[in-house]
Amino acid sequence: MISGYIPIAVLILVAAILGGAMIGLSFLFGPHKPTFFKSTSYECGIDPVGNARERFPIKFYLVAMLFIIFDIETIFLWPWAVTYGSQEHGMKVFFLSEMAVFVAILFIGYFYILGKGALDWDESDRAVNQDSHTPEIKAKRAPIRFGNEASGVVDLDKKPVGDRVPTYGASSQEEVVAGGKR
Amino acid sequence: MIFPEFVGGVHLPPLVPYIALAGTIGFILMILPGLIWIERVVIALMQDRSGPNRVGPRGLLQSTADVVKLFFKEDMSPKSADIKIYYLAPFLTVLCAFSAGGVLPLQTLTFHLANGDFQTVPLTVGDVNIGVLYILAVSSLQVYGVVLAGWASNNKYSLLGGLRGSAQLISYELSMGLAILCVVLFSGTCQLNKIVDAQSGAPFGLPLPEIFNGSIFSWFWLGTGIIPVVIYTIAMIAETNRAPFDLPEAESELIAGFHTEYSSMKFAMFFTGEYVSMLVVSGLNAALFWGGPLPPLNIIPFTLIPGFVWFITKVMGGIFFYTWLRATYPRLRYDALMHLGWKRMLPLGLVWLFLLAVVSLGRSPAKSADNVPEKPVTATQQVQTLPNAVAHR
Repeated sequence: MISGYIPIAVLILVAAILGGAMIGLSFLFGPHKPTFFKSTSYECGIDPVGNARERFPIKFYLVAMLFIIFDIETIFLWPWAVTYGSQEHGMKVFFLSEMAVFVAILFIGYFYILGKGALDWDESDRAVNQDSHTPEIKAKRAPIRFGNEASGVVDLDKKPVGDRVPTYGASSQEEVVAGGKR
Repeated sequence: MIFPEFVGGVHLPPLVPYIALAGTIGFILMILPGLIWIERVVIALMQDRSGPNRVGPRGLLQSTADVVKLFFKEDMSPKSADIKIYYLAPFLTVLCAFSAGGVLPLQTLTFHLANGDFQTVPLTVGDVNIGVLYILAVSSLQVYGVVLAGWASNNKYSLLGGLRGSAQLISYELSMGLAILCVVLFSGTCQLNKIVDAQSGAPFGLPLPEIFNGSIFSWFWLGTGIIPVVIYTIAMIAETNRAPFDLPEAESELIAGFHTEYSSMKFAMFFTGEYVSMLVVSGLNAALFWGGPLPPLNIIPFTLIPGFVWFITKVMGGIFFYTWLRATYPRLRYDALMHLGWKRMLPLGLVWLFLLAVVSLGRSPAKSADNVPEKPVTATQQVQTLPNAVAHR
């Protein structure tokens, strides 16, 4: 049983040797004359600003989480698909109804995350929908709170347009209250 | 073609996987510069310009010269990079790309045993019963190459490219899996050689002349209703980060994406990994949907050509398709990419799988399916368990 995997193990070994050889040979052959400017990270020719270990959009994290859920559910489909074709007719009906229930539950979850907007990459997907900007919907929305220790909590809806309030993190920065669009 | 069991006292059938291994690696290494040349020449023709024409006849040696040059380029790394992971990333890319192709069905060899029996051995590195899962698993490990390269370079463009790449790869893997599931549902096995066997019958079980047995009409591209092959093809292009899905290395916004900080052979390793995984996913496409080593019609001039030639022809068709797309379509916007993957292809794939299951309700139980075998038969084992084969050795 395991003997069929031995050539694959050999293949992986050969691939590893190839990869190692590529790195090793270019390390051996190539010159090494590092200078300060060669060793800085490339930012289109200007001096790099800060570090790349920055915060990045949480959307990527969300996509990874959704992937795990859906991938596990897809994996559940594999043994079903392999055995389905070889069943008798009555058993097939049973298999199919079981899978119908499973896919229905999968779609409930799918429509839930669709409705939550987890798959909208930016707000532009929602901006298309005019319904989300009607006065009725806006009236139900909780007031937008803003500000920090210096200013106290500020309700932006009650501030006059154009007034300046300190933003969350840096008290040296200020944000202008946006115009009547809100 | 029928081969004798012993050649010069060497027992051949157990050596077949290793012949396939040497052939696969040798072929890939030989064809790689050619692939780059093909791509450049085809795009040049499509864009009405000359393309490479300086080194060698018609510029054929251009990529070979580039590889030699890259070996002698300075091997530098940014000071702020995480140096171990920085070197690990291209290594992982090459490792996963080369080892993913190990289960592709190249051909079936027939041996004339010493006792007069005939035995068929698949020309595959490892003809394991989890073949499709193996390719999916190993090729999806490539996301680590992208992510680690992007993160370890400590460059903002690399980080963005790596994040984009990982999100794209995992999004499209779902649709890819669902499209493959449609084939698995009909063939009842994950073993690629058996999936090819399942395509060798008459089209849709119709009483047609012999010439149509295992022909282009009985392959799964038509058998599963065209939708899965479309989904798989889109997903395979997105999985290999090629145009129009090349957002991780979108040169107009991200310089070179996750490999911005890579120079010399390390850059070429990402390039190699990309091309080898193009070959592998095209090979999987050929095996699942386009009949693998089967000739397009079951008549004499086609059947005389060995199966691996057909297989390579189909893989090259896939490569040409890649190039064609690259010359034709502009790059997708990122939200459009995610929209297509999650909101179009994923539900379509699930619904189509379910429809196929309903359609196959009326079918009689499949004969060739390996429904949970007690002892999976592999290439080498098949040889050992054959009656009289051992006695005559």
